Amino acid sequence: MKATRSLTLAAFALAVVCLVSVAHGEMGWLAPWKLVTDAAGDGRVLRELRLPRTLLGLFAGASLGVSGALMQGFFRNPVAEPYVIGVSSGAAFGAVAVLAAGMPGWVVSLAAFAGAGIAAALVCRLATRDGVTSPLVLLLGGMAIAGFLQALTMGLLLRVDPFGMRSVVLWLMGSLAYRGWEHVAIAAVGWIPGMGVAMAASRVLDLLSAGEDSAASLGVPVETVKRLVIGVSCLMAGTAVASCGIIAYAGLMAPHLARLLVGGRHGMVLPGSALFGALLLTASDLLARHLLPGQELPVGVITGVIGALFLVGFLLMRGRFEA
Amino acid sequence: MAGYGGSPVVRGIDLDVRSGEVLGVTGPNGAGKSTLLKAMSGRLRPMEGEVRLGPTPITALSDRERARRLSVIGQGARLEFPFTVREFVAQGRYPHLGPFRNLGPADDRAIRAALAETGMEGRADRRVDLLSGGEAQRAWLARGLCQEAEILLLDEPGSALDASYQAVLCGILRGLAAKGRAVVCVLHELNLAARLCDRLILLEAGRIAAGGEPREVLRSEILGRVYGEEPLVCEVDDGFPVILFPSRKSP
Repeated sequence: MKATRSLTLAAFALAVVCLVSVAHGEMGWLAPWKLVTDAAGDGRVLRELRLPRTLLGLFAGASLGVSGALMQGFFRNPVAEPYVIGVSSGAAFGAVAVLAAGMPGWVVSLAAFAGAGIAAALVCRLATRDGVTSPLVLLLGGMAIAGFLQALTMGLLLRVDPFGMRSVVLWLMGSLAYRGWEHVAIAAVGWIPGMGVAMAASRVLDLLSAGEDSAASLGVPVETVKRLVIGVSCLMAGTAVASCGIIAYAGLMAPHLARLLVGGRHGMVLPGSALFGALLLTASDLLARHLLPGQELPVGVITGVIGALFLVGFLLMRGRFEA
Repeated sequence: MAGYGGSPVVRGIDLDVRSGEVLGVTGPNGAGKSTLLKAMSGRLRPMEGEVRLGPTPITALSDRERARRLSVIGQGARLEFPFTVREFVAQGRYPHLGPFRNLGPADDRAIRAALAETGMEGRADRRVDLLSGGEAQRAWLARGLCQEAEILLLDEPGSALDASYQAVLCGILRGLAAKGRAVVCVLHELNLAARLCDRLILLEAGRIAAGGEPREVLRSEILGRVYGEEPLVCEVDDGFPVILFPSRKSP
């Protein structure tokens, strides 16, 4: 009951934030119904700028939240997130390589997604021996590959001209600004099938969170589920990063908020993580747009600050929650 | 023969487990007790030989079919996520439900019975990640009982339990055997093994060093040969052997 009430409240808060995000922007307040009543002018601003931006925040935030919940459940580690297996470093390398070559925006998204996928596949290959994937090797392999790719990315940054440097830095910090429907499509392509598969696997994830041996003893085909979980998590995080750059902490915070309010069952944790991930990113984007007058901050800066404070607060309050 | 990475850990083991009995597996550290249990559960494929459930090789069963017939209860690893005890115990119904079917009245009955049997009814709404070691072990036991399998394999089920609850554990496992289940327990604690088991096998370096009724196995000269130190074995009024090892320095 408490879980359903918490999810309903989060959904209501998300609806309010989305409405404000669509209605208010650089040009002040615009009536949201002009989306359908006004073909040009205000309606065009809403259709081509604000609505895609808000929807991108929804899909990408939800993807990062669910992806984090999958990784934490799989690793049985509350600080795991998709970035630990090299998704963000791979995406960053792919994007910076393309930006350094001066290629257009849609190629950047494609390269970021390819980089994320290749990095995650490399890490998984490293961690799999005789058909068995070791979570520990996955974690350590992720750190090694991430370190390697970060070094290469730094090297590439030297080749970026001073004019291109600003767009590279903005991409690395994560932003929803200047994104169009093609970016919404990329994020939706990750979220829609990913959420479906994750929900179908939710009961099995409950069993996996008590350990692989324990899940296997209950009849779970552990290796198949592992590959599915890693694949879905990488797809969701990869498409989110490809569409809006590296968003810090969303994949870590959202599942914690969800578990705090709805308990441990993945049947509730996954939708909760999607809701809180979406809420976090859209609300952070609103802040990023309005915090400094006349200047927009990259949304990754806001999620980074909120995430770090949340993590510290969570650690300090942990004893109180457990009492 | 079974082991890891091509190196055998247990070998030459020919063992029947009968319905209605509690079989104990004991021995010093590294003797291969847990490896034997893993091979019996089907989690570790034997390098030679096979494990059968009745006439059927365990490898011929699907994962869920195996889990409906055989319940494996581990040492009770710490749980990180905030499931309630009831939710955790309900996981034991997965082999009967699969990934999509919801709990029905029969499942609810099995969950309630498992909670009652392990004395966890009063803690059913508590979070498993906040339980003490002994309570967590009881929750794991309840989850295993909830599977309603005909064979139970338990790895050190009493290691985190206090003396009083060890006696309760004996009662639960003996009760299951009396209902016709086959119970196999890996046990370090020889005095618990003496009280709990109908039959005991003593492993030494991956082979059976002795097997039979506890009083035949838990003899001073046999234990002395396997553990490198002869214990004092005496019998108390209720007829169970009591084993006391003298304190000594680490070899």
